[in-house]
Order: sequence, then C-alpha cells, then structure tokens
Amino acid sequence: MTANIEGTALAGDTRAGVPPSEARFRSLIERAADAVLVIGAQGRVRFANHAAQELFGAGADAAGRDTLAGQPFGVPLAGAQAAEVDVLLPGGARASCELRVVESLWSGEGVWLATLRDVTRRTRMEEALRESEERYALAARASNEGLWDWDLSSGEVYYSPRWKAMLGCSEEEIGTRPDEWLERVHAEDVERVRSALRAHVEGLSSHLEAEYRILHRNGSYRWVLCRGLAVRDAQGRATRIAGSQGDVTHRKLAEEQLAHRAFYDPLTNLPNRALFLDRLRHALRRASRRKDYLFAVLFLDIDRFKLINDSLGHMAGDRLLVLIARRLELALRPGDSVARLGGDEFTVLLDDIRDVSDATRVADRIQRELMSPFQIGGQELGTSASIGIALSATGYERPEDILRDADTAMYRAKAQGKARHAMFDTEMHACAVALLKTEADLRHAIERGELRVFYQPIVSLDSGRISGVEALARWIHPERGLVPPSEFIPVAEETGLIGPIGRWVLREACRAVRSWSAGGASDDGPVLSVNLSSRQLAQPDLVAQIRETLAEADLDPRRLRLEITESAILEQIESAAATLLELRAIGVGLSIDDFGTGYSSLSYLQKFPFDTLKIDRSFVEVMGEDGERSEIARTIVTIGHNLGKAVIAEGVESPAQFALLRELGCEAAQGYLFSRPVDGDTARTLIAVGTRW
Amino acid sequence: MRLVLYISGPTARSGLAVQRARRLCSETLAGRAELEVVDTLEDPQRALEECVRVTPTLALAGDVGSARAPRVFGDLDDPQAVLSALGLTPAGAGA
Repeated sequence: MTANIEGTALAGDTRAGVPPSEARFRSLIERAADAVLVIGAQGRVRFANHAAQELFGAGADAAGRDTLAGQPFGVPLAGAQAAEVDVLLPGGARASCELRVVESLWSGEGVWLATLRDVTRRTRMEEALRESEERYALAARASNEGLWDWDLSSGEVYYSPRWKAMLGCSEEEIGTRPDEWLERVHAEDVERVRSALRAHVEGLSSHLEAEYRILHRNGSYRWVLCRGLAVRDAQGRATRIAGSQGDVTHRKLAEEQLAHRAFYDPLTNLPNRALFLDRLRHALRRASRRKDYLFAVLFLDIDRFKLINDSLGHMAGDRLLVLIARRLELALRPGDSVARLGGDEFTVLLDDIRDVSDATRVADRIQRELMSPFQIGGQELGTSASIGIALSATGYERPEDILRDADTAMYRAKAQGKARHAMFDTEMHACAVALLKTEADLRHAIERGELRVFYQPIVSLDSGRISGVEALARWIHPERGLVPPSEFIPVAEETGLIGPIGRWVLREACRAVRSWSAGGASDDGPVLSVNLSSRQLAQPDLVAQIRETLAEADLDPRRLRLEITESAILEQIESAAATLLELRAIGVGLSIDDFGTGYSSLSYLQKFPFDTLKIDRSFVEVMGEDGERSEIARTIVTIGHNLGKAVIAEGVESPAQFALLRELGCEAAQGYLFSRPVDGDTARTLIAVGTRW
Repeated sequence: MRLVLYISGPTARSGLAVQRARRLCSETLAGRAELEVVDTLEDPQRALEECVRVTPTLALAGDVGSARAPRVFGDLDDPQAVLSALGLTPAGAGA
C-alpha cells in the first residue's frame, strides 16, 4: 500500500530510498482535516495530529506534548475500502468514523498512518432512517400489512411472515425470489404491477402504488394494495425497494357492489336504464358501421300491474316483477339483453335480427311466457304486457330516441287493447316529431308574445251576475293558429315549461283583472281563478312568488283563487299541506278542480284548507232536461256544503242544467251557456255592462 | 489463549465484529482461542483501564490490562491480516 494523504504522493520518495523530510511530512499530516494517527510497530501511537487530538478529546498536556503518543491503539486494519469504527469519546459518547490505513515510513521506521473521518452525522441520519423504517414496520404490523424488501443488487426479496400469511402460506413456503410475488399476481394485473415497479425504480413515479389480485394458497384471488418506496444511491439509482401489501378485498367487493348497483336494478338484478342505454349506444355504433346490421328495441309495460300491486300489496308486486324478469330472460336468444327501466317497465334489445318478423316473433314469445300463470302468495296470476317495438332501420343517432319511439309504440299497443304489440311507424314518428316541434315552439311562445290569457266568466247562481273569471292560457301559434290547451298544456307539464308559463299567466291575469276595476278598491271586483299545476305546487318559492305578483298588480289576495286538481295534491302530498296553509293564511282562495274525477277522498277535503270545490264538467254534462242523472252532482254539492265549502259547477251548457244547479244550492257556475272563454277586453265589457243571466 | 473483543453497543457494526471474531477463533484458530466480548458501553471503566479508544478492537489477552498486549482495531474481515497483526499463526501452520 502506498502512502497517500490528501492526494499528496509520499510513497515515491520512500521507494526511491530518499527519506522524506520528517518535518514536512509532519506538517502535512498536522494540517490534514481528518484525524491522523501515526502508529508504530507495537501498535503504539507515534504521532497524532491536531484533528486526532480533537476527536479523542485528548489535547496536549501542560508541556505541550501529545498525550495520545504512546497509547496502545493496536494495529489498524482496513481493507481496500474504509473500515467503520466507533471512537470512544471522553464523555462516554461514541463517534462513528471511517478508518483508512496506509503504510509509510516515519523516521525510517515502518508505520501505519490511520486516518479517521467522523461520519457521525451521516450515520445518525442512517439510523434515523432505520428507526423510521422500524416504526413503519411496527405500524404496518399493527395494521396487518405484509412487508417486502427487494434488494435490487442481489435480486432477493424479503417477504415478511405476515406477507406470506396473507396468502395462506407458511414461512418456508415462500422463498426470496421476486417471482414468488409476481407469479402469484393475477394474469390480468401483472403487467400493470410490473410497469408500476419499473416506473418507480426508474424514478418516473414518486412512489409505488398498485392494486391487484394475488393468488391465495386456497386458489382464490385476494385484492391487495401494495405501496413501496425505493432507496437510491448518490447517483439516484434505486438500490432497494421496500414496502407493504395490505388486503383490500372487502373494500374492493364493496366497490364492485356499488358499481353493480349503478348499472343493475337491485330488485330483479337486470341491467338498469343506464346500462341498457349504454348497450343501445354500442348497437347504434355497430349499425352505423354495418349496413346489414339491424336491431330492435322492445318496450314492455305490464298490463294491470298497478291493480296487482294495489290489491295484493307491494311485496307481491315486487315478487311478480322478479318472476317476470326471469321469464323474459327465458324468452330471449343469447346475445339479446333485457333491462328493467323502473316500475313495471322492461326493455329488450334484440341484437342482429334479419327483419321485423324476428322482433314480432320474440314479442309473441314474451306474451306466451307471461300468460302462463305465476305463483304469487298462494295465488295463480296470469299477466300480459303491452309491447312497443322500434327498429334500428329508422336511422337513429341517440339511444334515447329509439327508446322513446319504442315507448310511444307501447302506448299505441296499450291503447289498442292490452296484451298486444305495436311497431313504431312513420305516423307515430310524425306525431312524435310534431310533439317535439310543439315543445320547441312553446319554449319561445312567451318571449314572442304568442301566449294570451282568456277569461271565462263564472256566474253567481244567486244573482245571475258575473262573480268571477277563470283565467285560461291560449296559444296563438304563428302558423297553426289557436292551439288548444289540451295540446300544449301536457307538453308544458312534461317539459317543465309549465313553470314559466304558469307564472306569466298569473301575472298577466292579476294585472288585467285589477285594471278592469281601475280606480276602485283592490278588493272590489270579480274573483280571479287561476289553475295551478302540480309542478307549480312543488316550487318552494310558490308562496313568495304569488305574494309578489299580487303586490305588483295591487290586487287583494282575496280576489285570487287557485284551482288545484286532486292528483296534483296527491303528487305533492307532503309539501302541499304547508304551502296551501300559507296561501290560505295570506287570504288566497283555494279550490279543488275537477272534483269527483280523482280519488275524491274526503280526508283530503278536510286535511287541506280548500274553501271551494269545482264539480267536474262530466257530472254536469250528463244532467238531463228532467233532472235525471244528477245524483253525483247533488252528492258533491251536499258534501261540499256539509264541509263548509262553496261549490262551483263547470261545463254548464243548457238552461235546464242551470236551473237544476241553482235548485241544488250550487253557488256558482261557468260554461258555454253563459260565455266561452273570451279575451280580456270582452271580459271587461261583460262585467262592466252588468250582464245578467 | 484468550481473545478480547471490545465493541460499542448492540449495533450492526458490533454484530459483524463479533461474528468475525468468533469465526477467527473457531475456524482459523481451530478453537485454540476463546473469545471474550466487552461492550464498552456496559463497561466503560474497563475500556478506560485497558486504554481502548476505538472499537472494534481485538486484543490478545496474554497479559490482561497490559498495554503491551498485541491488539488490532478496525476491519476484522481478513483473518490472516488479523492474525499476523496479533503475531499469531493460523492453526495447522505450526504454532
């Protein structure tokens, strides 16, 4: 070994037989940053430099002599690399040092030059790291995770006992090869795991994290979450990668169940609307690529299902739906799919059919399947479905469209009598298109000023004079002329346009009615009846809206009466009561519209604060000249009066009906006998001239 | 013959030194020497008395406490180097 201190070549001198200047040598050593001990043959210190004195805490004695000199350290040994030693410090602490040894000559004597470099700081950091690793290991053990530690230079992996136990293996059953791990990873996941490992080893990811299935000894796969971190050398090369592996099977199963729930109907376990639409989308895509590819959508609605539900209970109804689902699956060919959209509505996708007859054949088969009796709660029930069929040949772009057309055809089938199927045809298509056009046009009707409010006088049967008007929306379409409410109100209801339209009608009517008695008191004049749909009733700000509108128009709340159908109340039964009470509280009148056509439950009459009820026109229209068939009207009037409500009749067309209603004690009436709905100016004139019947 | 190994605490470095010293005794010296391990953390007084300032130090305890006893410190990996530094010869080479 040659003497090389701080890069200064000294050995050449000795080899050449020229003794180095001891003074020069000494001063060189003295100035070295590292501690240097010159150790003689007996292992005794011949000389210690300043840094060595500092390190050993020896210092010079009073006479300035080196107190380390003569100390029996022993022969220093270090291989090609530095040896690691601990230096005992005076206070009892230890300093971690790297020891390097070279042989040299000292005053002609062979010596060892031992240099000691304090690496305590570095070592502390390593220890801190090790400690944190140990803490991590403890935490991992507590959380039941398995540990692994892959030495990338040796290629060996340490798998902790817990790691092995998680896979049902004992300590000896798993060795140290990386393949013990990777070969157990599920074939579909292993490439992902390998690339995640590769990415982290190459420094492309900040940490390793992968979820995958791994083979348990019992042959099943467990879902695990693996996390790891590489240890890198000064060049940033990963030398080691270690981490944990935890079993997440339970969480994974829960996630799968959630995902399942998002796409399957929990009752029948059939695909739901979302999944069905997705399959339709795929079918449409295939149809756009392949000219010869044809598919059909069947839309099924179980006939009289509501009756079964109502008479046998929901449990029986649900049971029937499940059995129907299984029968539908039986009726289909492989490759077809059936879904439950909700309620008693099912859909079927018939994949790759040759022509229409394939679809109708399946529809017939489904009918046969449903006809054979079901066992429900000890009863035998046969059922049937109305089936609408739509074919992909029509050239659809959106899955919702073909589904909608199948639905339309289903309604046609149902209307034609139950247990039938109907194909969606061009006429239906035209009808549907017209409906869509109506919707599109209606959206602009308000802003284009195409809506009008008409007023039908309500006549007091006592005085024969007009006591109120019912506001009715009319739509004057630029091309179609006057569109009857029966055509656009349902569209408005369905699309939600009823909200803005209803608000507009209310505002317009309040303003108009107030203007008829301009100059008079706000509470003087006819009462305005306005219809309120269930959608409007559901608006949380309805009361505020009405209050504002009344204030704006300066109309006394007592001059407004809102007409609400029974079914609208039933749809909002929870929230309706509070809203209606609030409206009553501010003085607005409330009327049940079309009374007698819905549930006509007396409990609703009592529960909700109505002050008026309106006999449906169907009970008035049937009343004959001689008072026959007037029993229902009579009964309704009696009920109303017994409950303290006023009764209004609508649809009065003949003087006989008028007379009879007056005889029954009905308070007011409206109908063609008095006046059709008329525009605002006409209504004002009728009132102003004091028309009397 | 007895060898004394001085170490500092239950560290990996100490463990390695003990392992190498044991192997030296049992294999290289074929059991001719017994090994005493002194942890200078447990027994700092002895380290002081025996002038041990660096660990691991391996000393031949011929004359216990004597500063003249041959000793080595540092890397004990190479048994031949250790033996020759201690002035010993391996078993079978003739003592």
